[in-house]
Amino acid sequence: MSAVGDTNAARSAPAIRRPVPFRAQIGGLSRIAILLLLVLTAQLVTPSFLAPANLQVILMAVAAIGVMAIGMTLVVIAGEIDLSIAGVAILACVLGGILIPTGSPVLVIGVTLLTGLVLGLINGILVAGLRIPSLIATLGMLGIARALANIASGGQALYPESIGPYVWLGRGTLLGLPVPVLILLALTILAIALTRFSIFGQALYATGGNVKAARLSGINVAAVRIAVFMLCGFCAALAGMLDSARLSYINPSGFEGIELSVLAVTVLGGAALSGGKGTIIGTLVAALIIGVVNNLLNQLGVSIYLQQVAIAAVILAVVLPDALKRESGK
Amino acid sequence: MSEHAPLLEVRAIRKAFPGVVALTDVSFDILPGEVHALVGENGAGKSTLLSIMNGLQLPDSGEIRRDGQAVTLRNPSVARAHRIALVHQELVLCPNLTVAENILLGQEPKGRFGRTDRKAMHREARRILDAIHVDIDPARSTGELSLNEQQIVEICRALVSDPRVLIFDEPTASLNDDQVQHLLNVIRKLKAKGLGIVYVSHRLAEVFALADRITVLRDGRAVATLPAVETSEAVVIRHMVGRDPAPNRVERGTSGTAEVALAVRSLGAGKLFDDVSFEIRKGEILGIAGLLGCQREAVMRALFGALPVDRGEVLVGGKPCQPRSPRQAIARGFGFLPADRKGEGLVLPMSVGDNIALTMLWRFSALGFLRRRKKDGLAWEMIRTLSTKVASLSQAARELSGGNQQKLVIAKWIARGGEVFLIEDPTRGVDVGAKPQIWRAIDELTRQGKAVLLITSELQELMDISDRIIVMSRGRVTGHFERPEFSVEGIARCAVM
Repeated sequence: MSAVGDTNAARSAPAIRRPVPFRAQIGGLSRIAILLLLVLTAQLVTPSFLAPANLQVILMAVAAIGVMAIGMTLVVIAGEIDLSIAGVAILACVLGGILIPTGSPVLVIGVTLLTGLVLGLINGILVAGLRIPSLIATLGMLGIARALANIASGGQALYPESIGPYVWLGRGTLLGLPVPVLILLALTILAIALTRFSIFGQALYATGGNVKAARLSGINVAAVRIAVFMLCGFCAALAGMLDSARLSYINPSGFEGIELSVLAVTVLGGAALSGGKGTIIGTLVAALIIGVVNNLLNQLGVSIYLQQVAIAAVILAVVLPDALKRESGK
Repeated sequence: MSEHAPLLEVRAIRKAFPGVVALTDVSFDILPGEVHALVGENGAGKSTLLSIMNGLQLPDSGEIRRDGQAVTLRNPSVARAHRIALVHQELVLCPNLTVAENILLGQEPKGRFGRTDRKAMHREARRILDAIHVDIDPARSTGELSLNEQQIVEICRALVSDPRVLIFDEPTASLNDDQVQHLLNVIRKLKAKGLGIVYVSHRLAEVFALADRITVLRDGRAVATLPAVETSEAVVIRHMVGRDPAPNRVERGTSGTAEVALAVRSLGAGKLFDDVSFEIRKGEILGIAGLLGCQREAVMRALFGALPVDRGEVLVGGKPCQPRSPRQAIARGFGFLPADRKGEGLVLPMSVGDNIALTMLWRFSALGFLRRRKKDGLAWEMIRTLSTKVASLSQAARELSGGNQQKLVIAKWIARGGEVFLIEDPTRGVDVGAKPQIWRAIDELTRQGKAVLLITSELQELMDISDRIIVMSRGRVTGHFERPEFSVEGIARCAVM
């Protein structure tokens, strides 16, 4: 009987240990390890890899896609998808670009970003209000926005050189760093604050993790969905502007197929298309992994087609361990 | 019966996983034409024993004998070849396929050129359904079937290989009382055909209704094998938990005050229910009894704003209130604890602490920023109050046992506060040992003057804890019972009105 008594004592004692911090981030750490390994390899293969000039090239190449991927990550965590980012980026830049003759940077930049927000709002209303699956709603938006951009611009490129601050966004430097890189950094910090340290972040992960439970817990899931689409639209317009400013011309048929590259970065960063999972840090690291691989292959003079194969192989190699872990976890 | 040799026998089985011994020296046998029930709390080793008998796992030591011959059940298809089959706890059917297609999934009869022979398939499905005297059309779409009919399709799938030993892993977990009776009859027919049946369930009432022998597992050991006629529920529970069970009947601290917390008058929603009226006083538990299709779940969802209402009125604390969304209902003082914890109650990938905080995020907001320390403090408090077993606040809700998940759902609503709690089947899939704790937590709510509207799938549970019971049948209230008048017969009569 005494043995029974002992188990009782063990049962009634609260089985509580201290929280295990950062346990959830182990997956992110393995990605950082891969990034470091790649950087090390690159440095061994091409000694000039870690030169400041080359690092700046990598970061510049990553800036626009990184900004778009941060917006996409928010949408994917909420359990949705946004295929319209290329259309949103172009239409926003074209509508802003049409105002170049006014000479007002506030108008041009303001209208560009506002268009991104409004198009995101429409996506959000289609999905959250009219219950159209986001895959279809945003695919529709992609087509419409692209067409409208061509109609509004008459198919002609627009040149923002006369708007100084606009060009500065793409080519300027601040504290010795390129402005697009600083914008990516600032956006990363804001998005981390939003996902990890705000109550919106809690509502976001709950909506993506189990929308029924979130709704029955009193979370305004429609507002969460609309918010992430607006943020994603904003990021798309911002990224479009960074690229247009860097190249000094607004191409009404640019960003062809960018949504797939952005989705690849997002998934590579650990976000699950089923929702409720993903981190901003993971997405940023994933963008850097792609940037490093691209840069290395460029330096080695590998053809663009082989580069695409290599990128795809890297994505599969990084995602595979997760998939195997999930499989054996059952 | 005892003169027969066992169909299947496991002897001195031991199985260890890294860090934990799941089974130690477990012996168990099944005779032909016998139902041998296997009971135990979550984590007692039932699942491991089942997966060893079904060939999903190999034991570390010990032996398995089939008709007296030692066998090695390397994988489930070897087990099937030895005519041992398992009926899964969760329904794993394809709702878009027909009954026949589901029954013969992966074992379709082949015609010429490897094409599926549909006629033979229907014939075969019909033969299996007839063998257990069930009248379901093999051509029907599986998605249209009720839960217990789907469960029967699941059983038919196991019968395709013509097994001698059939293992049931909690087949009634998602069925209500009358569906359970139907299923038990099917199992009795299989038993009469001379099959040996292993039956695992948390519900002791049906174990006693069905089993010839009962084996109790506790902490990986078979602590007792008892003939069902010579034992009682109390004895079995004592073996399961290793101590005297807490009394089933919860000592209610209060039976309500005079003040009405919730008044529902002539509430109706489409064709679902009509003219539903009742009142709950503060500190009172009102149970709704009824059979499947009586729409008591719909009434609960309508009160919570999750289902539109088109007639009648609802008064909370004397004030009219017609919530059109769960958000509004929560703001008016409602809390809802759904039966489907995994699907509706919790966000499984999120942590324990985050789940508790979900109902009241605004409370932890400082200019939109999350006040983590305040959130964690409240979560710990709730976890201690309900003595929930968690490794840490950052543990994912998915990793908790059923009982602890239920406590988590209760915790998130106790923490939120409110006046009226709508509670749906709070002990579904919960250990016998954890049930009294859950009832105590609900009792504690009423001591704080909260009103509780309760639905359970087992009528006895409802009668044990409710202060009053109303009965519903086909969307209408057909009976009303005060505690002294509670009787199974009286309530059942109203339920079929």
